[in-house]
Amino acid sequence: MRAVVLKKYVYNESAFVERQLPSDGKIVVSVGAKVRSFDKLGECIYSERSQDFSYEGELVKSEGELVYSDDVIWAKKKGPFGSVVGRAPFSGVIVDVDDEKKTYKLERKPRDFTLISGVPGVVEDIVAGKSVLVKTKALEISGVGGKGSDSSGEIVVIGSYGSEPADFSELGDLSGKIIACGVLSPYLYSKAKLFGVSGFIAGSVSYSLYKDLDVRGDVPVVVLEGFGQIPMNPFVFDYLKGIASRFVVINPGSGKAIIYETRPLAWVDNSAEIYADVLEGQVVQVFAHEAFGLFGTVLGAEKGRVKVDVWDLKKTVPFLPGCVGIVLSRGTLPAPL
Amino acid sequence: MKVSTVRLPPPAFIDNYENVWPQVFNEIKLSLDLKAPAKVFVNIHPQSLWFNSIDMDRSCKKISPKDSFCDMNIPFMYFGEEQFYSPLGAYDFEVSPQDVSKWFEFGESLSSIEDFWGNRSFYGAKPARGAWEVAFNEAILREKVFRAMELFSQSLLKDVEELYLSGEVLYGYSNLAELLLMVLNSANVPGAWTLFLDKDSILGPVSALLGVDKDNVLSFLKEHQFLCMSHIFVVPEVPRAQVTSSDNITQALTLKKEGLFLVPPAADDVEVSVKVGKEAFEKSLSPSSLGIVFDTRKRPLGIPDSRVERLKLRDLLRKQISNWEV
Repeated sequence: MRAVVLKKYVYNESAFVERQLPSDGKIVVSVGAKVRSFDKLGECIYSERSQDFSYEGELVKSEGELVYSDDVIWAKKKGPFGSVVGRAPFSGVIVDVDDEKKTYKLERKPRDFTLISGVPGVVEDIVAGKSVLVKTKALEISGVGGKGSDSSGEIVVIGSYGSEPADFSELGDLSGKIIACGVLSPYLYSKAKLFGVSGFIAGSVSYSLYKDLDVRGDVPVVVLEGFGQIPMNPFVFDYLKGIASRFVVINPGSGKAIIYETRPLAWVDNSAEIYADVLEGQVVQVFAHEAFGLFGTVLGAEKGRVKVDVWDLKKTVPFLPGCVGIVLSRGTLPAPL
Repeated sequence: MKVSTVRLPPPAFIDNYENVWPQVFNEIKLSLDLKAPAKVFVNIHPQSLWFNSIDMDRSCKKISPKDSFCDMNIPFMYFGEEQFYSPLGAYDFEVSPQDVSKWFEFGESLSSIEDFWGNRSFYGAKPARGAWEVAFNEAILREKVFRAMELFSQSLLKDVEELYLSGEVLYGYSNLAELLLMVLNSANVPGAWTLFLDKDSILGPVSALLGVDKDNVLSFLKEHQFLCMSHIFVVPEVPRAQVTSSDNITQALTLKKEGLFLVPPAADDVEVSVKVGKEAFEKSLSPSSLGIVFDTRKRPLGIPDSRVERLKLRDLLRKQISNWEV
C-alpha cells in the first residue's frame, strides 16, 4: 500500500536566509564574510507603521505629546471609587485626536534600527542599502501557508501543542519575539499584536482570521498544519520548546520557519521520496473530516485501509491511503502522548 | 483503458521535493501495472504550481486541458476542481465557502465550513469518508452544476439533445438520483435531454490525445459506452404525454400539477410522445438507469433565500424520487 510523503521538515545544508532592512540604509558586511547570529549586517533609521486607537473617558495626554510604552493615555471613571485606564502599547507621539469619534493615532518614533544576521553563515549576496543573503545550515519547517512579511526573533513557545495558553499572564514580555503555539486564536493574536510580537508559528488558525490578515500591515504568521483547531505536530512543538530563545526566521511567503541547526535531526527524514510504502511505526497526518490534520502512528494495513492510532482521538481508525500523508518515516518514534 | 488516481503532494510543500515527474510517472506505472509507454501526454493546467515540475523528456508532452477539450465536439460538461470545461470554452468556478454553506445539509457553522474549505484547498480533495464529507462534496457539486447550467441555459442547452457529465468532481460519484435532481433543479430552460455519466472517468484522460489522434479517440469514446442515466423532459407548461413500450402498450401520463413525474426504467426502447400546447414531438428512447423524468415545475425555479426553506424544498423533492431505483 502506497501513500504520499508529506515533506514538511527538511534539513538544508545550503539554506538561504534573506535579511532585509525595513527602510533604505547601510549594509556593513561584504560578500564572503562569515557571520554569527548576532553580528550586525546593516543599519537604518526606521519608523514603524503608526496605529489608530480608540479611547474611553478623557485623554490624559495631549495631541503632539510624546508617550512611552505603558504610559496612561486615557482614563474613565468607573463608579465613585475607581476608574479604568488605557495605556500606550508602544512609544510614540499622539496625533490626529478626534474628540467626537474618540480616536487618536499613535505615531511611532523614528529609531535607529540594527539588522543582525539571525543565523550563523556566510554572506552570499548583497543588495546595496537594502538586504543581505546569508547561506546557512538549517531545519526548514514548511507549513501550509503564511501571511505577512519576513520576520525574525527569539522563539518563545506558549500553551500546549493543541491549544492556546489558558493563562495569558505567561505571555510576559513578547516584544520582538516569534511566538510558537498550537492554536492561534483571534484573542491571542490581538493580545500579542499589542505586545509588539514579531511573528507567529502556529499549528492552526481559523480560516476567517487567516483570510483577514493584511499581508503587509499585520503581525506575520506561518501556519504549519491547517485551519480550525488542528494541533501542531507534537514532535515539532517539543522541538521548538527545546530550542526556546534561539533566533529563528519566518518566511510567510513560502510558509516556512527557518531554524539554524549545525547537523540533521534524528526525526527528520531527508529522502527525496514523494510516495512510499505505508509501514508500521510511521507517523502520518490524517485528512479525513473527523480527524483532519491530526497525527498518529501506523499500526498496519489491511483490506485497503491504513490502521492509524490517532493520538488525539486515543483510538485506532482505518483510513483510505489517499486520506493520510506520511510525515515521519523513521519507523521507531513512539506516540508522544 | 485503465484509469488510476495518483495524488500529488500539497503544492504548499512543492519546494521540498526533487525529481517530481519521474517519481509521479513511476507511481502511475506502478498503479496501472504498465511498462514504459512509447509516448506520454500529460494534461495539466499551465497555472498549476506543478506545471514546471513536470519536467519530461522528448517522449512526453504537456497539454493544457483547455487545448485538449476544445477539440472535443460532443456536448459535455466537465466539472474539475477549479475549472469547468465544455465545448464552448473553459471557465473558473470560484466557488466560496458561503456557496457551499448554502447547500450543506448538516447544521454546521460557517466558520467550520470555512476551516474545512481552507484545509481542502491546501491539502487537495481527498476521498470522502463518512456522511459529513459526502455531504460537503455534494454541496460543492450542487453549486457547480447550478453554475454550469446557468452559464449554458441560453446556449449549449438549447442546441443539444444529449449531455455528457464528467470531471474529477464526479469520479467515483454514485448517487445518480441526487445528481439527476441537481441537474433538474438547475435547468432553467425548457427542453429534452438524455443525461450520460462518465462513470469510468475516461473523458479527462483521453482528451489529452485528441490533438494527436482525434479519430481514434472519438471512435474509442463511441465504443466505450457512457452510463445512460436518464431521459429528462423539462416541460413547465404541463404537457400531455404518453409512453409506448416495445410491445405496443401505451401509457398515458397524468401530468396535471407541477412536480417531478417518473416513468421507471424499461428493458427495451420506448417511444415517447409529448404535446405542449400546439407543439408535439416524438422521441425514441433507449433504456436508462433512472428511466424517464418529466419535470413540470415552473421556470425559473424559485430557490428560496432561506437555507432552511431550501433544504425543505430539497427534502420534498427527494421524497418524490425516494423510490427511484439506482
